[in-house]
Amino acid sequence: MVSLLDAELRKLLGLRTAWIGLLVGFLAAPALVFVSAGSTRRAIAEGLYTDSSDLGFQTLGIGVLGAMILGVVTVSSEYTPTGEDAPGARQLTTTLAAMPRRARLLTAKGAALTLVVAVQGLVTTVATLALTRLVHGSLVPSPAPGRLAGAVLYWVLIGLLAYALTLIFRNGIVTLTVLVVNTSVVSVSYLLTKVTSAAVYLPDIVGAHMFLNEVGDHDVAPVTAGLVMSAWVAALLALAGWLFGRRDA
Amino acid sequence: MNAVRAEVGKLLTLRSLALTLGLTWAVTLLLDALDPPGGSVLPYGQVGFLILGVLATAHEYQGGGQIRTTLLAMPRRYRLAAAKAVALVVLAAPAALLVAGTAGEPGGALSLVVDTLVAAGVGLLIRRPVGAAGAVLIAYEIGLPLIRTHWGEVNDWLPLAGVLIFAVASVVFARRDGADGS
Repeated sequence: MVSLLDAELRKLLGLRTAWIGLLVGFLAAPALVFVSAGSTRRAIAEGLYTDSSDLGFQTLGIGVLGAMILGVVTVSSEYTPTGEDAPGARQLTTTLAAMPRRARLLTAKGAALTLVVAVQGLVTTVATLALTRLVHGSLVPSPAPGRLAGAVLYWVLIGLLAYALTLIFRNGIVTLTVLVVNTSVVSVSYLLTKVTSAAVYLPDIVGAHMFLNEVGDHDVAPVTAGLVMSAWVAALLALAGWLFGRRDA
Repeated sequence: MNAVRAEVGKLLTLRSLALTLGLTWAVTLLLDALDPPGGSVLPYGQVGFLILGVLATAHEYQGGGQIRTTLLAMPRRYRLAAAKAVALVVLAAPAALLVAGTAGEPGGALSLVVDTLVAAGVGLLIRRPVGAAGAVLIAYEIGLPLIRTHWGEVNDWLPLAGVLIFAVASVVFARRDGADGS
């Protein structure tokens, strides 16, 4: 299992697109703190923020893009043809020849991804919160450790969500489109929460309640939010594992 | 003219493109039927046209290396790039009208066509469907809104930027290796 994990880690970190994901994840949120410093200060002065403890955490939303890219490419790279001359040959063929037990393979892949994404999430969250304190000083209360843990957990779960969805669709474009759009201002999940309050429990919306006090118009307790999102991810992972075990590679 | 016809033929017969357009229209129709408070559903249709543009150029670099055959048949690369742009606009325009009409804003069709062209330019530059789709989506859905909140409106510049991106992509396309996507 250790050598399998080692192999999956090397494969993931050997991908150029994975490094893009790593860089985006590390840099996007801290950079946004600087970019939006002016307008945030103005918003605080005008009293638009009812809860300034959300400040640093809100910026993190953009950083999870990195976790998404990592979750997608760890699977989509296996399904991409390895060469122009042999469109039938894919990395997955070699991977499965070396490790035919598919459940173990998926576990190792997921563990490697979790490891990378957790480190990324922790480093970025701490850096972003520290920068927010540095830029805005005493305007921002010092972050509660529980919320920090919630943010890192959200980061990891988003990575695993992307992983599970890409395994189900076997196509990076579909997952990337769904997840990137839902991160943005034209989030479909967010739109649905305005139509029906049940949509508050969609994975990407409910997860944000783990570390943000104000998400949309509804309130969900952080622990409930964590449990609901974990349940979503676990269910999707189970479905992905079942499909991966049964169908043609 | 033959080059344009060939490109139109390729675009018309690709299943992934038809699927993208079908899904785009279906999502627009569905969201419009839900009638969400807070305005337009056109931005959701826009996402579909971005993917359409990326796939239209990047699909030739997917497994099988269609681009080699294409370049063998049509070695004049600037003309090929222009034919691709014309074919894409010819096909995207009626689809854009349909989707924009469904969203209740037929005037938005033109910007959808421009977005498709931008995405096609990025697809031609990056040569990988997944990477290009990620880049275009992040630029449009995360980058542009950020620029709008911090530096002001940019919509007037998008058509110019679109033509520029496609022009740069054409020059790069004409000057580098044909097939090697690695």
